[in-house]
Amino acid sequence: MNTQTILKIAASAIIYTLLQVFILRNLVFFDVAFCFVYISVILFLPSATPTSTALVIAFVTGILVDMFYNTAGLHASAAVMIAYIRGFILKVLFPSKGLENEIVISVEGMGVERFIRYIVILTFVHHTYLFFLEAGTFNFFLNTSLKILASVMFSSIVIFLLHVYLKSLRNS
Amino acid sequence: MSQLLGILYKSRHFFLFLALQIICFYLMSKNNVYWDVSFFNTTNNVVARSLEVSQKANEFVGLGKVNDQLAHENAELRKQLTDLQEMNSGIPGYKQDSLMARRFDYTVAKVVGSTHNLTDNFITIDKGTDDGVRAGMGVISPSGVVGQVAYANKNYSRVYSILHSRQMVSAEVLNAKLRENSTVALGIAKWDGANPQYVRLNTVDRFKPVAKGDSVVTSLQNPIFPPHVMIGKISEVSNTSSEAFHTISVRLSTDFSSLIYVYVVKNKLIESQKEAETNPAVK
Repeated sequence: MNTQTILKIAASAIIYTLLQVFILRNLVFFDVAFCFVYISVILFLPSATPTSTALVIAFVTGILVDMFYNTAGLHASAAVMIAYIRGFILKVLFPSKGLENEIVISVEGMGVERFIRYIVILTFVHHTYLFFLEAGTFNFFLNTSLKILASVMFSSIVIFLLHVYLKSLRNS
Repeated sequence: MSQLLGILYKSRHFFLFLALQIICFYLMSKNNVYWDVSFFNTTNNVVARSLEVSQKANEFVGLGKVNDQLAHENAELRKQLTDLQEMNSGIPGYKQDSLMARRFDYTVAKVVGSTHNLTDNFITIDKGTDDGVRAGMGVISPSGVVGQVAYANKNYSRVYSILHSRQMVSAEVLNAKLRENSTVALGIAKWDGANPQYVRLNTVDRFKPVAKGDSVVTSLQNPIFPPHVMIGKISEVSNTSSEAFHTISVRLSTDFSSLIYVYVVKNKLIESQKEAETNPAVK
C-alpha cells in the first residue's frame, strides 16, 4: 500500500464521516429510513487491503461516528463486523478471481449489477446487525425489520450515488 | 509451540476482530456516565462545539416555526392573564361573573402589509372570517395597542391602525396619585397625523394630576380592547390655564414599522353589551 492510497482512504474517511455526522444525521424519512453512509469508507477500501488494516480503519470510523451519535461502541461494532466479513463476501461474489488478479471495487471494475449487489449485501448485514443491537431484543421484530428494509434501500441508493459522484469529481 | 503460534498467526484477523468487538461491547455496556467522563474528556470540546454549530444551523432554519409557536403561546398566556385580572378586580363587594371575565379571546395573526407614514394608515393581516375575525374587533401587538379591524374577507383582514385619522381609543392614565385618590383620568387617544410615534390624548380633565412618564392604557370603558393594554407613555403635558383639558402627547409603545405578529381580540359579549346600550325599550 503506497502513500497515495493511504491519503485517498484518509480523505474518503473524513468526507464520509463529516457528511454522516453533520448532514445525514438529521435526515430520517418517516422515522424509519436512516442513512448510514459512513460504511462507504469500509466498502470501498481497495480489495487488497489486509483484513487487520480494514478492521482498524472500521473501528476508528465507527468510534468517530459513535461520538457524535452518543452511542459508544454501537457503530464501531457494526463497522468492524462488515470489515471482517467483507473479504468473504468478495470471495463469494467473485470466486474466479484469486489473489493474482485483484478486484477493483468500482462500477467499472465490477459491472453495475454486481457492484450494486455488493453494496446491498454489505449494507444489509451492517443495518441488520446495527438495528438489532440497538433494539437490544427481538421484541420489536416487525418494527426493527421495517427500519432495516427502509434504511437499507435509502442507504444503498445514497452510497451508490455518492460513490459515482465522488468518482466523477476525482476524474474531472 | 511454533505450531500453536502458527495457528494463532493464521487466524490473527479473527482475533483482532474479536478483540475489537470485545472493546465495542465493553464500551456499550459502559455506555453511561462513565463513558462520557472517561473518554470524552479530551475530545469533548471538539465534538460539542461541532454539534453546537450544526444545531445552530438547524435552529436558524427553524426560527420561523419557533416564532409561530411562541406567538401562539403568547396568545394563550395573554388570555389567561386577562381572565385572571378580570376575576381579581380587587374591589371589595364586587365579584365579576366568570362569563364576563372570560369574554376575551385572542387569535394570532401575521402582518402581511402595513403603512405607518400616510395620513390614514392600514395594516393587512393574514386572518379573515375563516378564523373568526370580524370587522370591529380590536387588534393588539405584544407591545401595545395596534388598532381595529376595518374589513375582513375569507382569508385576510384590513385593520385601521391607530395611526388613522378616524381611529380613536378610549384611554386612561395610570399613576400612583390617581390610584391614591381612587379616581380615573379618562381620555381619548387619537392620532394628529404628524409623527407616527406620537398620539394625542384629549379630554383629560386638567385638575387630574398627570405627569410626564405616566403610562397610558386602554380604559375599562371600552368593549373592544381588554382593559389596561398599553398604549404608550406620556411624553409631554402642556396646560394653559384657560383650557379645561390637558394637552397630552403620548409616545406609542408599539413600533408600527416593525410589526410581525398581532393578536386579534374578540369580545364574546359585545353583542349583549350593545343590545343593553341601545335597547329601544329605554327612552
